[in-house]
Amino acid sequence: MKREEKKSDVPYGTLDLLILKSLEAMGPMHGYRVARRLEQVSGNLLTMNQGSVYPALVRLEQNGWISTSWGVSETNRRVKVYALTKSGRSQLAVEIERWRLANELVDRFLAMSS
Amino acid sequence: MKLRRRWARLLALFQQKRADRELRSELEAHLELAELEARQRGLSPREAKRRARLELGGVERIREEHREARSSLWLEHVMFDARYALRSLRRTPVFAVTVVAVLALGLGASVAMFSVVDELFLEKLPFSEPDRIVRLWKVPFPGAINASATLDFVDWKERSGSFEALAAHSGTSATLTGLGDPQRMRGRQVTADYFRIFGVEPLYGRGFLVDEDLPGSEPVVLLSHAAWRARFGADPDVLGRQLTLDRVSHEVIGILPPGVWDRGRAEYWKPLVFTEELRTRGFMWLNVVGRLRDGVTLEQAQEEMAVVDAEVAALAPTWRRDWGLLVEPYETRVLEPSAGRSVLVAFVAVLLLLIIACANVTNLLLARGSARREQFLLRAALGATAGRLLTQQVVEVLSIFGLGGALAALLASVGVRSLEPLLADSLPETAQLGVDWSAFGFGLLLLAGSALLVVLLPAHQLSRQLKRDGAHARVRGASAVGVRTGLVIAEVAGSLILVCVALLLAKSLLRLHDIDAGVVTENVLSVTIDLPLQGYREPEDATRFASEVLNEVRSQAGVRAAALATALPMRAVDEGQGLLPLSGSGGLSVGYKRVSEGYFEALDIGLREGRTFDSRDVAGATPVGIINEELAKRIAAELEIDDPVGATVNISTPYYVEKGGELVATRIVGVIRSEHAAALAEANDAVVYVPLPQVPKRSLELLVRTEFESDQGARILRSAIAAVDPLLAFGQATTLEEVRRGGLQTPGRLTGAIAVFAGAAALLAGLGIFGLLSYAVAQERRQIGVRMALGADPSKVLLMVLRGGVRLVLWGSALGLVGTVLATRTLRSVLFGVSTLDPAVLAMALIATVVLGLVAGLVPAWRAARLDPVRALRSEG
Repeated sequence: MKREEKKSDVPYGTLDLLILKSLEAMGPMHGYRVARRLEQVSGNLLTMNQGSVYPALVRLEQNGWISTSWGVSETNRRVKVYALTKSGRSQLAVEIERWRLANELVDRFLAMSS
Repeated sequence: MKLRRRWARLLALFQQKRADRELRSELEAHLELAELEARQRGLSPREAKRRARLELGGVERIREEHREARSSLWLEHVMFDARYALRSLRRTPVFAVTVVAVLALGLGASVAMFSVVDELFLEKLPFSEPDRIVRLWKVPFPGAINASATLDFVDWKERSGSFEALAAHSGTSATLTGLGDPQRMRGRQVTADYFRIFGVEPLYGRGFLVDEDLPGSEPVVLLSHAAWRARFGADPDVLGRQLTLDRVSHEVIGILPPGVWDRGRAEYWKPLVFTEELRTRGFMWLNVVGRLRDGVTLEQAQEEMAVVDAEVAALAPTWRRDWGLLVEPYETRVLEPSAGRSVLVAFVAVLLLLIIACANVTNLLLARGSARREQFLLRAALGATAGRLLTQQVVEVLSIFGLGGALAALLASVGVRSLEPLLADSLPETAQLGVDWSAFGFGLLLLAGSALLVVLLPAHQLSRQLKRDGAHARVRGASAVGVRTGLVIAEVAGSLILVCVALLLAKSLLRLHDIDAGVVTENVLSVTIDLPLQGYREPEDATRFASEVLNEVRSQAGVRAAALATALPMRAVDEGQGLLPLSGSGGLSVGYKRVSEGYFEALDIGLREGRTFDSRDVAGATPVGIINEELAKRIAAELEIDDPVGATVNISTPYYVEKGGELVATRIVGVIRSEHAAALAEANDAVVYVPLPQVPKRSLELLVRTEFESDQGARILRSAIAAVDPLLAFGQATTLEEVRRGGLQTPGRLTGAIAVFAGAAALLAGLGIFGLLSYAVAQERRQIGVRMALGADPSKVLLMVLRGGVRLVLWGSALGLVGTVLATRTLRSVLFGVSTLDPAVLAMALIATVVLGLVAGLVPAWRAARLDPVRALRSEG
């Protein structure tokens, strides 16, 4: 419950939502795949370093929203594989809801002022 | 699964290096994959590598952000949970204070006791390679030990190959003159290589030279560090000075290091010189110690010495030709057995108390856990993760244990410091008491570990339940109540055992106080006198002194009687001699006590048969002896002399100056009703009394019985002695009452300590019952309310709750009785005149425990009976 308050001062605002959604859509993935997925879906809209997913992943993991296990990469290296947890799934629902609410709110304001 | 992972992560946070390593390898894998894909898109290997790095971003920054994400959140949570935990502890001060107090007492007391036990029983002696130090004893019969004769020792030393060094020593004392009033000093005569055996070098000056124990050497002494400080103010100029001991000048050649050598009675050491008259086999007077050669085992030494001693024993007087020889580790006899037993009993009691304390803490934590289950479920429903709830509890337990542990440490060091003077008399000279901090750490870890387990297990259950049922989880199951009931029963059992032990010891102590010592102790004062050889070279000198000093004392106003003896009543007779039939084989080793005429009369020691000593029994007259009842029994049983009075036996009779003695045909003229000739807690000894004028001695106890209680006694003794010989020193005057009390001190202290433990244990058990019943009543409020609303009588409710308490007590008592039967067996050796299964004691302990259960149950029962049904029903059960 503390997370929601903190959200606003996290500069990469929607990163958590995007990662959770990616994991939901694609199933368990390792870090590189998560980063690539974000790039692919966003096209060129998102300008971020791929490395930024790692601090985000550890934060999500500490909240218990994603879990890690050890897997093997295409280059035959031991890598961490991230997967959505049950509470991560419900958190995703919460985040989506919040996002919609915020969107709706902003839309209304924008409609009013025009 | 989730809990385990969370826990692993908590631990991983203490391992920053590992987390960094994992991130590094993850980033390397990332780069590899990015490179691979870039090459598949047709980029050159070099370009692919560049692109992969560019897209990933700065590795250092990622690592920094990762580290921050990892720790800041965690720290924040911990700080928050810790604050919350401390707040919730502050809100329940009774709980917090109780647990802290129980911890501090239980852990503090047991660590203090353990430190003593460890020092006395487990710790190595503070000498270099203590395992190689041994004692050698002659063995009159299996189980008994005896000092050795000079020539035996000399032969052992010559013929044996097992020892690096073999030394003999013997206690001595002397009068120090020339420094103010004459003073008595205790010392030890030792052969030259004595200190080599212990690996001890003097702190200042030098040790004894190899030939300094040969006849004709200049007299020299070593001083203990304590004596050097106490008597000479740590004056370094004492080295090289001459001390007048027994009117002979001795040069001080060295001061021993502080510590071990200060605890013993000896203040000085001087070479033991085997003069011609000492070189006999008739007198057993030497204590022998040795250091085993490197690589020689105790068994090998024992084997070799058995052969050597068999040869040597062939030269011994007939009465001890069949004696054996024992080589034993030095540490075996370092501790006085009675003190050792007391310390062990106290230690077991403390352990029991610790277990009870542990059960109580566990119980309190469990109770708190169940009471807060609902609160936790609520918080969980509001989104707190199991891990966070756990953190809070862990912080709570750790802060309680931090505080309790600190108090326990304080208590333990205070405890050890206050135990030391209590034990000082019975502590071996090698003991160096201090808190055993590793034991303390171990105890604290054990307690904290069990408490964490108690907290974590329910939390784990809770988290599983949460996982299964989510926010709909309900308070369910009272599994903790079963465990808690078991714990309370165990507490009752433990406290019953302790109460029994305390009562048994108390009863034994009462018996000891009631012992008829067989002597008058009121208004009797005694003082030790040592006549120096210079001035008292002939037996007649000592005899003249004895009669003059007795006349002098008896002529003083207020003196009712006076006598001389070589040992005080209620103290062990430390001189032993052989008593043999005139013909045939066999013989007894008996206590040998020399007394002046009037001794038995002065102390009101009654006569059973025959006569006491009188003016007829002088040197040159028929040698006579008087025996006590113990000896009469043994003579009848072992020598088959049923009517001892008038019988003549051979008694090995010591010479006046020379060591050794000869068999003297002695007529037994009387049997006394026993005076107690051993410490009161010990069994009486078989003793033969001989008249002092026939066998004079230079070390004497002068006893005076005054008309009324008076502090003039010491003055009378002092002036009487000074009137006869102004150069004589004498020791501290002691009343027989003090001697009597001295013998009861150790059992008294033990009883007191155990009584305190038993009281604490009973209190803890009572608290346990109280807590459990209160909890049960709180849980069943609604049910009780329903009953009362339906017309149940409050008194019935009261009885119902009380019955619960009594049931706990009865189960606990049943268990405790079994434990008592097993545990008190070990007490047998410290109890006097009380059976370990004394029915009165068991009954009293049982009654006390049942009363305890009733009292502990009364408050919750009263609360239940006064429950307002309406309010009880309204409240959420």
